[in-house]
Amino acid sequence: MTDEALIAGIRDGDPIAERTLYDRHVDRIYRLAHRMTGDETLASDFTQDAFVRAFDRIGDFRGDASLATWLHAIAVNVILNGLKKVRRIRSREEGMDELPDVQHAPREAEPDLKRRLHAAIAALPDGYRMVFVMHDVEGYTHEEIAASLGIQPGTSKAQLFRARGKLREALAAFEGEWAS
Amino acid sequence: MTDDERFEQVVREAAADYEAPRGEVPREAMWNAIRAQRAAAAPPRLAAPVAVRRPASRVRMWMGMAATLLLGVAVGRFAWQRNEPATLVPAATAPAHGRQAAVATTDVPAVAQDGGPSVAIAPRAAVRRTPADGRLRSDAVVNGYTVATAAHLENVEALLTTVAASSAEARTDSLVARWARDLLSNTRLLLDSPAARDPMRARLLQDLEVILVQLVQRSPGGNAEERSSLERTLNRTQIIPRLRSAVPASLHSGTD
Repeated sequence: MTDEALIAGIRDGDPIAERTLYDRHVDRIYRLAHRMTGDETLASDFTQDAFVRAFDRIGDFRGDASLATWLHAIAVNVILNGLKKVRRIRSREEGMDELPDVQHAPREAEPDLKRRLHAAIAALPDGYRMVFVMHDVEGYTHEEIAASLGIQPGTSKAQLFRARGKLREALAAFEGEWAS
Repeated sequence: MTDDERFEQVVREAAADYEAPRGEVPREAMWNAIRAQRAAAAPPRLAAPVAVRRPASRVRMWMGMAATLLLGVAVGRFAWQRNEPATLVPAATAPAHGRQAAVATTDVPAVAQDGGPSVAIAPRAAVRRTPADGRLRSDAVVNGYTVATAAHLENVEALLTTVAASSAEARTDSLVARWARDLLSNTRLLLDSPAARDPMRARLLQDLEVILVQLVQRSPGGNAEERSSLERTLNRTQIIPRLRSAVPASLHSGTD
């Protein structure tokens, strides 16, 4: 089924078209949500919200971008807003000041490069992390990232550059792995 | 290869399993939740079309016309009362102006003599519409609640069928608990609404509330006691057959 046929079907309330769209994109969106949240329940919630919104707003789809890009833009928006909300709730409940700061954790506690890298990725600001995860982990192109985040491809490249810079700082102890 | 390129390669390799989902994507659970959310959001869209919207716009039109007439008459009477001595004309001229002129214009002298028709027509028209407006609105509200209740009951039926069929797993239980929490708030809203005026429906909603509370409070993974208590309540209240008979067949076919 082509994207055009899918869109027409969903607009007409065809459940098969809805399910087809879901089956085509759910894995990639769920994976992105999981990588951004690190939590199965949140990843499920955000994925569901993204599809509910997409089905509700299919009438707004103008075809400027591909259906996949449009769907990912909704998903990215849901994930970033959802993370903000979760962080707000958690900070209210626990007080973020009391949470351990990953970047300042003692180096001896994380001898392994991979573990330290994962901690450093988790400590990136959401915007940088989204670009880094989408590009370096999930393999999206800068054009896809730009369309999903509503930014220019150049901005996506700049954010990735800054994200890598931060990671490089966090991994300074392992410089021997890549420095000549 | 430069240092930067080597760094990128190292990072890519080390980040490949960063927060990667373990196990399979819970496709079916998410799909069921999506369907439930959409079904729960559907009542306003179902309530709006043809049967309800058309009378509403007609009502608005009549109300607008009645309001214009009332305003016209009120302004006319006000103007007449203020200028009474100056605007009085002989009675013989009144019929020539007729009803339409008297209603459409506000400073027609004939109103003074022929005040009966013009003053009486407009308010009568307005009064005649008002009870009908009320009835139409009331019908629309009742229809809306009926449709919303039916959609809600269908969602609850879907949840309870899922619960009856699923095994005791922590992840399933947490999804079910979230789903039940949403349905519980809707159940309580319906219990406080005109939808609960029907005693049979109110009893059904009250039984559902008890069951949904049990589902919400069930600990993830659920112990045997909690499960058997829930099963006892389901059997005692015969809730699933009651739900099936309460949900109109048309709604079943419309949402499948």
